[in-house]
Amino acid sequence: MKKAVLVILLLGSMLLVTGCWSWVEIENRAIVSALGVDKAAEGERLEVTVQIIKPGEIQSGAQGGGISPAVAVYSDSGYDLADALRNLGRQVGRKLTFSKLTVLVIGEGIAGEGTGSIMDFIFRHYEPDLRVKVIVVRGRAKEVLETEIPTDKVWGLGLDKLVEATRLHARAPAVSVLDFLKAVSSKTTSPVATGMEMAGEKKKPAEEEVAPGKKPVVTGTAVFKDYKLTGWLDETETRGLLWIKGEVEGGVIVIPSPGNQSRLMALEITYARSKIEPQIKDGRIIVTVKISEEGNIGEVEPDNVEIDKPGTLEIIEARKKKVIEKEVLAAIARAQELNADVFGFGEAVRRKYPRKWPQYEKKWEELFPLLDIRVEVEAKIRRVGLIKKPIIPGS
Amino acid sequence: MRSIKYLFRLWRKRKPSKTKSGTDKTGGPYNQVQMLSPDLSVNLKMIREKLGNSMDFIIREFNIGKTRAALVCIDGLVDKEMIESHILQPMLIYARMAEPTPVKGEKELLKFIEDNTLTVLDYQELSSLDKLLDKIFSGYTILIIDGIAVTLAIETIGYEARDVTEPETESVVRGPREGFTERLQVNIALLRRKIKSPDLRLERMTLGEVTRTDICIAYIRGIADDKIVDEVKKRLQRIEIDGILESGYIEGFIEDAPFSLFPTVGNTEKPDVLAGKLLEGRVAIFVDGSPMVLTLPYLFMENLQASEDYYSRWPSGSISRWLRFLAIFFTTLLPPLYVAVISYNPELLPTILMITVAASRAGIPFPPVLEVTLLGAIFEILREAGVRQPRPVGQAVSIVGVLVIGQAAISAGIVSAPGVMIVALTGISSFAVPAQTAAYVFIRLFLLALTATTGFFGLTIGIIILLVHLTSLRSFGVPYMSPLAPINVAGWKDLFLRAPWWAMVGRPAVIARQNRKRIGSVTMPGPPRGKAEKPLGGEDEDNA
Repeated sequence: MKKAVLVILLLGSMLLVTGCWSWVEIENRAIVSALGVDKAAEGERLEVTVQIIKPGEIQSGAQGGGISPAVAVYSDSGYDLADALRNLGRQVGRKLTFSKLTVLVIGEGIAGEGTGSIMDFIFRHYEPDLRVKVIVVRGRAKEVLETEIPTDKVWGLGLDKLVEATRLHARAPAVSVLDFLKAVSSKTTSPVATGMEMAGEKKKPAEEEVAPGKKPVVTGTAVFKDYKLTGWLDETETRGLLWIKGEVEGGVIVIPSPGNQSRLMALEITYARSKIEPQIKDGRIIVTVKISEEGNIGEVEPDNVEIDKPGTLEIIEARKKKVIEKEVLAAIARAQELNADVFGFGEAVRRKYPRKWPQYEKKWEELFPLLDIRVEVEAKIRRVGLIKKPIIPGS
Repeated sequence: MRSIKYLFRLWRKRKPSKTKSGTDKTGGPYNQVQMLSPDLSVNLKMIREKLGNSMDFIIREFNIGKTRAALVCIDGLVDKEMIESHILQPMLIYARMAEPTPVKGEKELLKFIEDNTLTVLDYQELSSLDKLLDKIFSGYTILIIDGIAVTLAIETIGYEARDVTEPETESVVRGPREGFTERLQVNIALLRRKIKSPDLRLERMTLGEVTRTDICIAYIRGIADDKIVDEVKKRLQRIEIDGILESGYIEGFIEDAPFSLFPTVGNTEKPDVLAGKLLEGRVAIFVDGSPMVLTLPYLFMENLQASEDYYSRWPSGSISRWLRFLAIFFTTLLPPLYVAVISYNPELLPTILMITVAASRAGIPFPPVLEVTLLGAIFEILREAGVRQPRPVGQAVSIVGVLVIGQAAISAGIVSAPGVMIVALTGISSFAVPAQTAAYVFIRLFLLALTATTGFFGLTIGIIILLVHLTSLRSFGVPYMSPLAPINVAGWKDLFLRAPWWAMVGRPAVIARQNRKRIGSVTMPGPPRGKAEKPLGGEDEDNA
């Protein structure tokens, strides 16, 4: 009987000696919403910038109205990311929590040298989830993180929304750390990341401070070779890339109007799918990209289109098809120039010809720039909007 | 669990064993069978000795013809008017008018009175002093006639009792409103009115060495499991106690797991609920003096059932089931979950919620565990204070509670708004569970302690311990968690859902083992099968 009491007491005290393991109160955490990495000015070091959410500001704003920023930005440098973050801890004074990290902004400088250790840190650390968006900025990440995003109190969330919105218009891809690492793990596919630049940056100011009126803009694609940045795709090429990957979800195609060639008309994209069909013929690889697209008429210059006339829609569809083909070919040309298989053609071949693939895999570096790629586009107009004819003056 | 039992055993052993002598069988006041004497004065002397000088004790001596007789009863328990007009009057007046019939000897006089004079329905012949005293205290009037060793106990019960009213504990929107009262006879009659079957068995027992409380076991022969009925009787016979004042006393003696937080004996205050339970094969125990009737066996799922589920249509019944599930989860798990999330794994919250919570927690002096425990204690005190207050005072209690604890504490920055919300939701949820037991408070504290030290890990272990305990419980041989464990999918029709009546064909499988079918061949209702008849009033259109 005494034994039983003793057992209970011992078991109970076991709970107490753990010392409340991993106990950190929510209010004692520094919630990091955005993480930026740059090459530090001095030597081999890198500079890390974090945006930390200030919870108090979020609440006071709710009462007062108006959007006042609720973040604090800190930077510090170190030999690698973990080291730099520890150094940063001296300024912040709270436990940095990465579980709500939304964007990882990488400066052009460090991206060119290699982002392997950064990606490894995100992947290895138990807190950040792998849906963190990867952004490569033409310039310094610190500058992006220090810029106010006027629409959001938490700037990191604002950056995330920028990327999402741009992706929906097919101007830039949205890439998560997981996507990035998946591409890296493939032997042939080149990873990509969302591109970003500071608008109004044409004349680079000498001083570090952010010039007023500057704002980050999501545009284009950063192309990597393994962990290293090798080049960029502009917006046209980016859409070409997205066409091939079947990731276009919306956006606008502008074509010359069928009535008057000097006028333009806009077509909305509502649906797009793609199919990559590799073929090995006599030892040569031929990749056929089939793209099917559907859309509506978005905007027409009055007085020069008769949409209800037979044949007009066919003309529009043909022109749309041509534009899409041009974009896709531009993307392919650029990728072949950079020798970066951003489309995953190699993976497509491997999937279809798993036995023959090893012999091509080794030569992929030489094969890809000269790869025979055929593009087949099918473009359709589904709806013309609420009206058939535009209102023509005087009619 | 077992070690707690050891603790209690230890404590019990240290108590001196003298207590036993007080209720010793041989020394008990009622255990010697004392027969009555033919002599009236001797009998009256014996009764007077037994009763001492009780002020409510009435002896009325009179003559029937030439024979001396006496009526003995207790003032307040009997209907005096009835005694006067149906016992005294016929015997004093009409007995004389019936004189022409010659009465030879006292034995025949007794028969003559029974046959020709008493205008009372219910009476018994008694010849032992113990039984006689029992009857007196139950409100019977005893007729003792000189020269006869047999007395008549005449039913003249007429004490004040509460009317049949709507019980406050189980009020309903739809369904019968009557509730049991403190009178055993009334309660049994209420049940009889619901179940008009000769198979409804009512077996009487008397328990309590001093209080001599009437107990009645009720079950439906052919539906209730004989083994369960026998077990109930066996357990009741084992009880040795001086008094039974409420059915809770009996519950404490017959429950299966006295150290468990969960009750294994149910109770109800409503005849319709009781009838439902009996029809499912359960056994009921009525206790005179208490409107709470015990029902056995009691399963965990009865925590989630309310009588109204069965009276309203099945969708609304099912929805209230789900709400009660939710309420049970809230009332036990919300505070520990709050602590686990806030103190250990805040990343589980969506970003904005996490920031908002962090903001409202900033500057709060107490850690979440302490916050939740203190607020929980305050809530329980408020509840306890409100329960036993008259209505207006109860309102004052809740206003003070709301204002002081809710508003002031938050604005003073002593507790955080999310903490108050969590505790309030926990408290409200505890009221949404039909069977309110203290179990949930203990479970909450137990899980809270585990969570406070080891986060979600502790919470998980705590839940596992609880589930192991629950599944190991039994109530009168029936697994407590049935139909969840052991799994009985047919039983889920009355657990996760309240299936339509025509679909609930069987009684609970583990309880009514002998007679499982509840519904005959009648199946789902619907319009008549076969060729559709012409719609009413539609003939003209058809012919045209």
